[in-house]
Amino acid sequence: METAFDTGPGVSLWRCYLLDTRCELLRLLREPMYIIPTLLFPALFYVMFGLLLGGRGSSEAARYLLATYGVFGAMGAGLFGFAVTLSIDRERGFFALRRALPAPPSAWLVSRLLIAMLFALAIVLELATLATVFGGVTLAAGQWALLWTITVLGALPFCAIGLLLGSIASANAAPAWVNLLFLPMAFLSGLWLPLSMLPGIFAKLAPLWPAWHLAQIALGVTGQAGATPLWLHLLVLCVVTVACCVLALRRLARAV
Amino acid sequence: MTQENGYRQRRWPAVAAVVALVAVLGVAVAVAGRQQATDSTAKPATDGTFAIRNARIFDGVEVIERGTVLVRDGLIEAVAADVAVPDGITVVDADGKTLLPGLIDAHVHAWGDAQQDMLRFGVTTALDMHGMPERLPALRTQRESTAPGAQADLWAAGYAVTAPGGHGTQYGFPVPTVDADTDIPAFIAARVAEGDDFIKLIVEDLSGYASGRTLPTLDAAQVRAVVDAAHAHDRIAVAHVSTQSSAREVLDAGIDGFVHVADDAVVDDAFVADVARRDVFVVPTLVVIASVAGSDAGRTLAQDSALSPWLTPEQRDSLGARMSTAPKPQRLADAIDSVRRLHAAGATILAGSDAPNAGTAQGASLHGELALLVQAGLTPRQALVAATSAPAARFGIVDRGRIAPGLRADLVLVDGNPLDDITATRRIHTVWKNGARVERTKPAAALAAGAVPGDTRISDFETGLDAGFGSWAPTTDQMAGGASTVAHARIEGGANGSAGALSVAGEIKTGFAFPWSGVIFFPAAQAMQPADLSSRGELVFRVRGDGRRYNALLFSGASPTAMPAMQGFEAGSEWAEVRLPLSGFAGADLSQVRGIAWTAGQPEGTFAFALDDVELR
Repeated sequence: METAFDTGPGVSLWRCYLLDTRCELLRLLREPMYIIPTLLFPALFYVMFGLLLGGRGSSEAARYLLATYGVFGAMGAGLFGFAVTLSIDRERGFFALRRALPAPPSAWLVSRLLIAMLFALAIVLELATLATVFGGVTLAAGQWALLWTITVLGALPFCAIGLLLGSIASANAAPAWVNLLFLPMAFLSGLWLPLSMLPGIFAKLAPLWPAWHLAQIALGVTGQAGATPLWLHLLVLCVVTVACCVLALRRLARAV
Repeated sequence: MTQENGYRQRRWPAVAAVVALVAVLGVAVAVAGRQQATDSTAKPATDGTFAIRNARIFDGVEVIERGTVLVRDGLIEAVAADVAVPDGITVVDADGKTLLPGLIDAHVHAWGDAQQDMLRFGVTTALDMHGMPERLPALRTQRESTAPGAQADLWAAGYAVTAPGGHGTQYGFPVPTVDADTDIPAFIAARVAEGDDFIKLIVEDLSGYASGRTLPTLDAAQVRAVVDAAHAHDRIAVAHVSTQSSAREVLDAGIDGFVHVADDAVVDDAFVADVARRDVFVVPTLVVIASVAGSDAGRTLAQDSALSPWLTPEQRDSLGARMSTAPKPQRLADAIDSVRRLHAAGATILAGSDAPNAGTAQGASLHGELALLVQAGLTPRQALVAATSAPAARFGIVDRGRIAPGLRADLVLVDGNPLDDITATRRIHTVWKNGARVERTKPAAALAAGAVPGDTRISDFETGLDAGFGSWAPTTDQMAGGASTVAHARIEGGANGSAGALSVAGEIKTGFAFPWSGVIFFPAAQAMQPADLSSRGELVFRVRGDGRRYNALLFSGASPTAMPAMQGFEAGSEWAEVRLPLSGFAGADLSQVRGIAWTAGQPEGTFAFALDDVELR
């Protein structure tokens, strides 16, 4: 495969990425199993727990959960988008097919990263609309922009975790594995309710979960973060991303 | 390159990735765990063992610019610039803050929620200058305990010593008094037996107030006998005075301290010299003199942004009130001048508020007093001594007042440096009582007064006790421990031939100093909730009765326990209309009316009257 093919003039790498992204997006949009939980559940949960239950009387809960459900959404987009599709693609022999196609191998990765971030963006915009209209949450323009940026980029570590899961699990097992990781981590990271409402041991163990670190960064924007320093959260998220990528790529190199 | 070699070469990234993952998560748990432990605002120190680090420490006498205090089991274990802090205990980082001994208010009258109110403002101990003695054993037990508490501790005078009908007898509880025939040594022995920690005597004939009234008071011989008897029982004797002449008389009797500075004139040189020579202390209580002088110092204090959120509605009312509304700025100026002269001569000055007199509030007013003491020439450090180690030393209190090993861990951490700016004492960060962090909760704000319907008619009792708005209820002094009774009911036959009226009948019995019995109308949906009646001008009703004189009481204001305003009316044998202008209820706040009562009071005996056609126009 070292031979250089003539891809013709004017077909840039970016165009390949965009085409791949469009095709992948179309595929996912036709897949209610992915699109409904990923795009609707964070908003639905936010309405139920943030606005109907917790938001009455004060916008404190609405603000806290705005940040944490954004993280919840980004996490779902990253984990499901990668783990499930990767395991399916692997089992269907899609990678063997791709190798025969005149498409850059990186396009598979880039398109999925873009889609995960796009979905994360859609989720935070949904939440922002709900929070301002029904939750009485007001943030400065800079805070909104920062919160969205953090949440969208925050999908990346979970893409990496998803990549690792998808490289290990079979297509049948992948959704189960993802849920097994996704739901407990969301709860234990204080995404559904503040950890101060749980026994102290959960707060002690929270730094084990990448979602907690991302939530702390997001809560820093809404002014509700704990006392741990920002560098620690960034370090953990970077290391998790890189380590999962390394492990996954190694696994893929052997298995595909 | 063989396949085998290829794998071997690529194995290290995976191992490195796993190691890095484990390492970083381990570091995260460790760092975050440490952070949680040192985050003092998140984790209350409940185990009684903790260290406060990097604080400026005022130990009651001296200042350590940056030091550590170690507390164990409710007691101070160590204090120094450098103290070894054992591993695993809670550490409070007090960088930029100042640690003080729990404050001592050397002049209070504590009842109700006073001890909780004090603690919220960092006053962990107070000296009660006149009150009922039944509680003295309980106060002693409380202050000897090192269990975590939610109250300030008290040392108390029990009953103050005064003459029959003199100052101190007007507060609604019976007070034993000293007259010409009293065996004073036996009298003081009885007080000491009740548990008095010190003897307070009152020398007050009102001559300093130019009010035209005079009060009976102790004469010089009685004062001397009281002081001697107190000393015979190893109790110090302190005195309430308000004039130079009585201060001189008490000083010559051998008094140990004054619990006010006389404010009828500036102290003269001879008096200052004598006070200093005899080492007599003075608790000036400038905050209450400011109130007597008609200044709005209390109101200003209530608006201080550091104090205001922690005041209850009752405290706010009390700070907003004044002993006198006629401004007499000279009184306060003279008092401050006297303190300046006494202090310059070396006399010991102690900080006391005389709370909760009008213009003061428990706890909060001690911070006002500290500022006034600084205004009178004390340095901030001397003012802090006057509220910590000095009162402890003068009243023989050995287990507190300083931050020193073995003493009780009553501590106040404030933002900033009160040694530069005395008002920094108000910016309280944390209070510890007996080594336990005090949960300072902001009192609930007074409920907003509800609007009432525009209807002027309250009740005509044609069919029942229904009202256009609000409701009716019986009210008697039983809620204050009295024994008076009442029954109220709709009866047939009302004023002007109408169908019904409200009958109120009962009996005034002894049991409470100010007995009452009758009915009360609550204008809001719930009892004693405020309603806005500021658009109404007149209370109109028809009444018939036994010829006795009755009172209409109007309860209003931010506090549900405030004294009501009162207007009298007669209830003759024929129906008659009574019109009481609401402006006649002196001092009432018509924007927050909590209740209007029709009651009988003294003398004892049965009473009966009927009401009809009650209106608020």
